[in-house]
Amino acid sequence: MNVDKFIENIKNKEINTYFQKNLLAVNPFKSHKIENYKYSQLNKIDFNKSHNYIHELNLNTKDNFLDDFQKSKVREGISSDHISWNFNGPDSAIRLSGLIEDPFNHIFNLDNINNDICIIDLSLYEEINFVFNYTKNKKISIVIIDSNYNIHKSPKCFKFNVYEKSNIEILQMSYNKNTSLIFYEFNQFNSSVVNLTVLQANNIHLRNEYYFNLGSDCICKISGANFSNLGINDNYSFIQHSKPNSSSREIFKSIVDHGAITNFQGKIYVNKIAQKTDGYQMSRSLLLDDISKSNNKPELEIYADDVKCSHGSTVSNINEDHLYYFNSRGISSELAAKILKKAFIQEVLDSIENISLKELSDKMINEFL
Amino acid sequence: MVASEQTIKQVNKLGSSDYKYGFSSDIESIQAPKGLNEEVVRFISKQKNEPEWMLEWRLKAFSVFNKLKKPDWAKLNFPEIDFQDYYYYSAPKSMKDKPKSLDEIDPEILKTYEKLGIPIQEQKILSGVAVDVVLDSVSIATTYKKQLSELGIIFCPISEAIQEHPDLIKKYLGSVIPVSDHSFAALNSAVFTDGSFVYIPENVRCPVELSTYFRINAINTGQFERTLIIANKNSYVSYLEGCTAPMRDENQLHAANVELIALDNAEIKYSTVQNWYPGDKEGKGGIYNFVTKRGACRGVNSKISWTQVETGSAITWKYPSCILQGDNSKGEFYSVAITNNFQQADTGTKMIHIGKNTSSKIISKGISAGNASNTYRGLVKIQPSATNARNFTQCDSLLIGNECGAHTVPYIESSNSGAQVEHEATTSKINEDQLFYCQQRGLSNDEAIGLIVNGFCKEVLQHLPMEFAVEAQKLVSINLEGSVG
Amino acid sequence: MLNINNLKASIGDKDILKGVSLSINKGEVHALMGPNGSGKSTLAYVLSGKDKYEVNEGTVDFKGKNLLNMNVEERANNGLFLAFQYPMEIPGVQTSFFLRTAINAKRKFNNLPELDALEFAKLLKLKAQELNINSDMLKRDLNVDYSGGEKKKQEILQLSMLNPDLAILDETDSGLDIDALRIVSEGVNKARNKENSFLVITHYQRLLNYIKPDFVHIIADGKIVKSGDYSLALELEDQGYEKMAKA
Ligand SMILES: Nc1ncnc2c1ncn2[C@@H]1O[C@H](COP(=O)(O)OP(=O)(O)OP(=O)(O)O)[C@@H](O)[C@H]1O
Ligand SMILES: [Mg+2]
Repeated sequence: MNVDKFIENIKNKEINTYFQKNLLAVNPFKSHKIENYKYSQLNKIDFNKSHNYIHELNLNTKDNFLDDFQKSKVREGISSDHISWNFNGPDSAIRLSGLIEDPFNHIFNLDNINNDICIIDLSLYEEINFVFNYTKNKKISIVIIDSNYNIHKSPKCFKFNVYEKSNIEILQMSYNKNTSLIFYEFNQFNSSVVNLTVLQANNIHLRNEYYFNLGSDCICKISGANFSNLGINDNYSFIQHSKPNSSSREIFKSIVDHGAITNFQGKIYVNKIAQKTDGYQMSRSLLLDDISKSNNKPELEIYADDVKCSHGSTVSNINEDHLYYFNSRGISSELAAKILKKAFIQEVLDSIENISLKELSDKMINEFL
Repeated sequence: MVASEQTIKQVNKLGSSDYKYGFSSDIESIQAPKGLNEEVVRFISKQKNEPEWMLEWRLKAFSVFNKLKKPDWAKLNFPEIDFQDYYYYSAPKSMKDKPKSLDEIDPEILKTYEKLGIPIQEQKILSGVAVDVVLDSVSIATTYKKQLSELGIIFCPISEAIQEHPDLIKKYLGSVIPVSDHSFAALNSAVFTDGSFVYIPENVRCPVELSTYFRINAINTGQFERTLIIANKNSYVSYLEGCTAPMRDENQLHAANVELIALDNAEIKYSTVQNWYPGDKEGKGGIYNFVTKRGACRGVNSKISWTQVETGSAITWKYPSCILQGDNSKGEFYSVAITNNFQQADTGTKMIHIGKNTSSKIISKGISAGNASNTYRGLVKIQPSATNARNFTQCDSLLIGNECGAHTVPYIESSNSGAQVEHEATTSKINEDQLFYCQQRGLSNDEAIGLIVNGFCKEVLQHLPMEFAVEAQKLVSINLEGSVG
Repeated sequence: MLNINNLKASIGDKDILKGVSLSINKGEVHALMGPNGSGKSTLAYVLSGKDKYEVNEGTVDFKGKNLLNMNVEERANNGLFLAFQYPMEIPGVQTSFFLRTAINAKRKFNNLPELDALEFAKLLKLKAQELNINSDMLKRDLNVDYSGGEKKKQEILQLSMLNPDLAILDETDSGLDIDALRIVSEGVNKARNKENSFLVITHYQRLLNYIKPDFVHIIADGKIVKSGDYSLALELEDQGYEKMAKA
């Protein structure tokens, strides 16, 4: 699979309009001219490289943290829209597996899923252009597992149509990856709720882009944490408030060391008619050594006057006074640093609503931190 | 609550009639042929009687300009500038043989400055401000010179410094803003006409504020001034700059370069009140203001502080910056940018931390009304060498009405784990409760909005020297006069 | 227990401690009083080993060991405890989790097995009750949004959980209401025994009504200028620092 073929294949399909507009139209895989601030250059990525850096570097690639969860909660389901799934009880999960006929144009009708949690393991599919539709008021939690089972050689495109008054929670876990490119588009219809949490650890090159288009009275939450990565970690979000009375809240935490680079760029865009918008965005980095880098560009672009928008950004090391307090209670600096790093991303963990997913995330963080 | 209907109407009503510096003066002038080419560069150099090395420097800059693309990162919308449509040199005829004293200055020129309220007459100088006055392309009068020279301070037009202090010019001109930095920097280097030169010797605290007033008078004239300030070890200087222009339907071009150099323990405070003609309420005319201001804190413990109040110009493109090279050096940027009608501003700063223990502070207040667009754009960069660097940034934007835009675009880049960078920004509307409160206490709407906006800007305005602070406060109010119903 | 001899310390190029000598024996309670800025907290920080404080001269012997050679956590694990004047707020770290980590660090240091969750919970519940601390508070982030008094109580809870040999209380009484002052003092008195010692830093004689010191020292400008018994505190209350320092 290569990028050109992927692009060729998803033409004329229902597709992430953001991906279409910003990537297909100008194909940054070919040239980097239109690339945003500090982006890793897509045209420099060799998707066909056969090396598996993760294995080469002998990284800890365990994912035992998933086991308990898989055993106790998960049932295998077949991803066909003709079957209505209903597995045992509340807080049960379904793992979508099996063949998808046309991965370039697969539409998931989430309304058919009666489980609280739906797991999608990206490693099962070579190339992905998925559309998700959801109309129910009942909250559904989706776990997207993006790990190293195979080497993805193409970008992954997701489009979520979150219809009126529906409520989706999404947890993306990216770990043990050589390269991963994920593009999200969320179309939030009036009064819908999306809570997206992204955990990124132990990767070489990751780039996530999130595009949100908000109707009126929507709630949009994005929380991200990246830590223990080795190469480049890019996150780009564009939150467009198109109609009045919506709120968006985005926090991004990065722990950067061992020569890694983290780039965060986020824009809150408020349309002229989107009065009463409440927008908040925070990016924080813990920069632990001098060979690593943290680049941040939080942006506000505002055309409506009755709004409350703010952003903040900080970059610093672990607070020395905090370390001292731990030491003064007999706790070693090493352990203290570990606890403080966890504390730093605790806010992201707290944003996950589903208890099982919170536990799962906690395990993942402990595994890689 | 949204700004009331009335508020918005009032903002729209606000027209060019409020620009009280919009008169033009009937002063006979010598001009370069219209357009931009090597001949014009030579013409300027010749008019200034410049030495050969200076002409060469200009010509080199001009060839660089021809190769560079116009910078395109700003969020500004304006038609392609036709550089051939401007005059690059205009000097009052009466200045051909420079007046020896103020008595010899063309009374018409003096009248111009009187109208602007600028004290170039000796008696007014007693107020404690030394003034250099630049009309179109030449420096008209520099006051207080003698007293300053007794301290070893040089304060003169840069054209004079090129003649009399070539060593300093050769050493420092273009050393902070390389000619090839971007096309406006190159353009300025090729065709700059005048501006101020300041040199403060070691261990001298300049006892008065140094000040330059810039005025564009002649039609279709570009003004390209060049300012160079050098503060030697343990010295201090505070420098003020004001600008105005007549009301004209065409867009006039202004592209200045300002370079500051602070050596060990030196401090430079640079304040600007920019009130170029902003254009009329339909967005016709007004100054295109492309300014490159950059200071280098070369020495240990040096400090450069920029304060700006930007109320004029149709287009403002300006990022006064600090390169913090010396250990423990400090950079500050305090800014108020007010845009109304169809004004557009894209302004901010760059703080480049290179030395250890360097610190920087950025306070920016943007106010946008009418159909205006107001963008803060700022870079904080911490180099791997800048251990223990600190930055704090606070950007607040205020929107008045629903046809304008306010944008905040910070770039934060850190590569040192011992550094701390903190950025905060907010955008909100003018507080209608405060407005109501003031009105209830009998203030007119204009007074109320002036009061509130001044409060919003206070943190910045208080960094202006006294003489300027009062003027700036008035300007802030005037610029938004009629903003609230 | 503790033997400080001619201790001089500075921060940056500012000299703060200018030759402090002080001996505290097992089972004793010493009070340290002195005007603002005289160096009380500095002494406490220097003893605990805080970075940035430079020891220029003098020796400190703690339980027969050279205290100044140890790093911060070694001092703590050897039994030195500092209740801070301004306890640190640490977002993201649950108070009870922090306590458990600290206790287990000490147990590990002493080659004891870690407390399991249940044992720990029991101990914590007991100690918290003694100090009248609401257990909900312990689920919150360490000191975050605690009131001034709650922070001080939390410090004393840590003290009673960690059971140090020498506890330094830096103005633990400030910020406490009357009831809390009594409860905290009772907590301290309960922790007190023949084997351990206390150095109580305070401005007010009031606290010393509850925690009776064996010795009182007055520090001024980085030096101990007067030492005596409990009556010195009363005298001080009466006359103020200025007079006493001169006398
Ligand atoms: N980091 C620092 N840098 C410079 N001076 C410091 C620093 N910390 C403390 N000092 C100074 O050292 C002196 C002693 O401070 P210290 O906190 O020990 O006083 P204190 O006796 O505890 O006062 P208080 O009763 O107010 O708590 C003061 O003058 C203080 O300003
Ligand atoms: Mg103290």
